[in-house]
Amino acid sequence: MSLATASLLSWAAASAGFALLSLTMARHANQVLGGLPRQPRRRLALVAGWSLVAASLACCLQGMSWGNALATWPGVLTLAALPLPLCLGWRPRMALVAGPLAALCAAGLLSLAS
Amino acid sequence: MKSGFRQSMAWLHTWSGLLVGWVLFAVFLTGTAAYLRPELTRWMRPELTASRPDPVQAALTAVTRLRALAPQSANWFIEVAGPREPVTTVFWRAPPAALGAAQGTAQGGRGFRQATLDPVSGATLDARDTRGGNFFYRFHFELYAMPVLWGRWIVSICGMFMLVAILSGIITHRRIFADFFTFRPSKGQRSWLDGHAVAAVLALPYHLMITYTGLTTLMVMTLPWGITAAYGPAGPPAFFADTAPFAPKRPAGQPAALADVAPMLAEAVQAWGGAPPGRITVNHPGDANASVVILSGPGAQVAEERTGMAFDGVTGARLAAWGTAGSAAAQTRGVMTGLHIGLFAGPMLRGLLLLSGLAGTVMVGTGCVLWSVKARQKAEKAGRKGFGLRLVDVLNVAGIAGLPLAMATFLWANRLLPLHLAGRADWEVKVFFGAWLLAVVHAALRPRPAAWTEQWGVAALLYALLPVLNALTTGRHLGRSLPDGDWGMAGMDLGFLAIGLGLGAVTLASRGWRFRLRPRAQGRAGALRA
Repeated sequence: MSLATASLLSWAAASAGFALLSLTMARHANQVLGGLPRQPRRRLALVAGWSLVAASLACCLQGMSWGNALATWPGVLTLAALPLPLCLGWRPRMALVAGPLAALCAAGLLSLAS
Repeated sequence: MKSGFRQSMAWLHTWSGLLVGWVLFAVFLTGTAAYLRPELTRWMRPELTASRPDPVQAALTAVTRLRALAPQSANWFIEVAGPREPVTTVFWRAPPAALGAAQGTAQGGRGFRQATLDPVSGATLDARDTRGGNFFYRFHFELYAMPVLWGRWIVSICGMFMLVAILSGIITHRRIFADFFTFRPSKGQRSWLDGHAVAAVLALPYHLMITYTGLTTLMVMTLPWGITAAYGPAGPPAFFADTAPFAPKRPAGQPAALADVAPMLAEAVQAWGGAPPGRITVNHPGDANASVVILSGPGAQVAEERTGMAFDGVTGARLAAWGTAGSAAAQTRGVMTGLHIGLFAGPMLRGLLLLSGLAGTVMVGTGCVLWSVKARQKAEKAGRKGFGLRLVDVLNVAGIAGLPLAMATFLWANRLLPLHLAGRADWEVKVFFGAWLLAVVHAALRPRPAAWTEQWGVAALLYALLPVLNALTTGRHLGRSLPDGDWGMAGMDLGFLAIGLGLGAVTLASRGWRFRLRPRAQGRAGALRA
C-alpha cells in the first residue's frame, strides 16, 4: 500500500468509525436520528465504530514506517473527528452522510491516483 | 472542605492558561506557520525560479563558487538546494580584514556573510531582501526585539505553563468522552467552552507532543543541572564536545590547497544508499588542517540527528562517519527534536501537523476568550466594571484577531515595499509590528463585537487578496504557476485564498458572537423591560 493510499483509507475508516460512534451517544442520536437506536443496533454501531477506528490504525501501520505511522495516525484521527462536532452543531443531519461521503471521496481519489 | 481535587485543578487551569495565553497564542500560530518555512520564504522571493537540481551537482557548484567568493574565510556553510528549497544558500564567516562586502551578498550577524546561489550555474541570485518564513520560525521561540536568550526563556516558561494547563485541563474536563463530538453554537459561554474542549480534545496527542518536545528542544538551557552534575565546572561546552560526532582541528597556519570535494560527496552518497547531501561545512579552507563535514538532507526518519561524514580537507581521507544509531539518550533527543520541527514529514503529514497546529491555536484563543467571559459574569454579578476586564478584552481582540492580520501585512509589505529599499527585510518586520500595534489601538477604541468583526474582516480581505496582489506585482501568479506546475508558488497562493475564505466565515460568525452565559435569558429579560 502506498503512503497516499494508506493515509486516505485510514482517514476514511476513521471518519466512518467516528460517525457511527457518535450515533451510539444519546445526544447525537437525538440530533441526527431523533432518538437512540434500539439495543442490538446500538451495540452493532458501537462495535463497527471501534473496529473502523482500529482499521484506521492498521491502514497507517500497513502503509508507512512504524515511526511515521505513530506520528501520522493521531493527525488522521484529528482530521477525521473535527468535522463531526461542527456538522452536529450546525447541520446535524449532514453527520449521517459524513462517513459514507468520506469513503466515497477516498475511493474517488484512489481511482484518480491509480 | 469545598475545594476538591478537580476544583483546584480548574483553578490551576484557568490561571496557568490566562497568565501566558496571548504569548502561547502567538507561539502556536507563528509556530504553525513555521511548518511552511521554506515554502513561505520561496513565496516571498518570487524572483527565484523553481528548479529540481541534482543535489550533488548543486553542492559541487556551491563549493566552486565559495572558493572564489570567500577564499580567506574560516568557515563555509552550504545549505544545498533540495526538494523544498529551490536554491542553495551559502554562509561564510567574513575574514576580519575583508570589510568591503562583495556585490549581492548580505551581511548577517556575527560577521557572517550570506549569498543565495543558483544551484546549477552557481551565480549569485539577486532576490529581494526578506526574512521570509524564517521570521515566524524565529519569533515562535525567540520572540523579537529582545536578547535571544530572554525570548527563549520567556517562551520556555510559557511552554511549561502550557503543559500544566493541558494536564490540569484533562483532569478538569470531566466529560471528555461524553462530550467528544459536542459543539453547541450560539449559546454564549457554552459555545466557547465546547469549542475550547473540542479543539483541545480532538488533537490532544498533538498538543501534548508539541508542548513537551518544544520544552525538550530548549532543555539544555532551562534544565542544565544534569549536565552540570556530570561535567562539573566544564559544563555544557564539554557536554556538546562529547556529544558532537566530530570536532574540527584548529587551523595550522600553513596554507594547503583544498582537496576536490566530488569524491567525498560520492563516497557519502554511496554510503547512505543514495540519500542526497543536505548541509556541508568546510572548516579552514586553504589551511593544512582543513576539514569537510557532509550531513544528509532531512530524511524519512523521524529523528532529527542526521547521518554525516567528515573528511580531511587536504588529503580527502575519511576522518569520521556517524549514523542515526547513537546512544539511546541521543536517539531520544533526536526523535523529540525531529517530532517538534516535523522536517521528516512528507506533504500529507505536514498538512496534518498544520491542521493540528491550527487546532492548538484555536484551543488557546477560545481559552483566552472564555476567561474574559467568565470574569465578566463575576464582575457583573458584583456590580463592577473593571479596567482589568476591558484590558483583557482589548488584548484578546488584538492578540487573537490582530496577529493573523499583522502576519498578512507582513506578506503585503513583502510585495509592496520598494525592491531596493535599504534595510528592506527590517521594514517588513516593522510593518508587521506596526500593524499589530494598530490592532491594539483599534481594539481599545472600538466596542467589542465591532472590534472583533472589523479585525477578522480586514484579515480575511488581506489574505484573500494576496493572490491578486501577487498577480499584480510579480510574474509568478496563479495564471503562470498553475500551468507551469510550480506547486510551491501556486500552493501558497491557493492556501492564502483558503485562509481568506476561512477568516471570512469567522468574520460573519463573529457578528453573532455572544460573550455571556445565557444570551436567551438575557434577551428575555430585555424584552420584559421593554
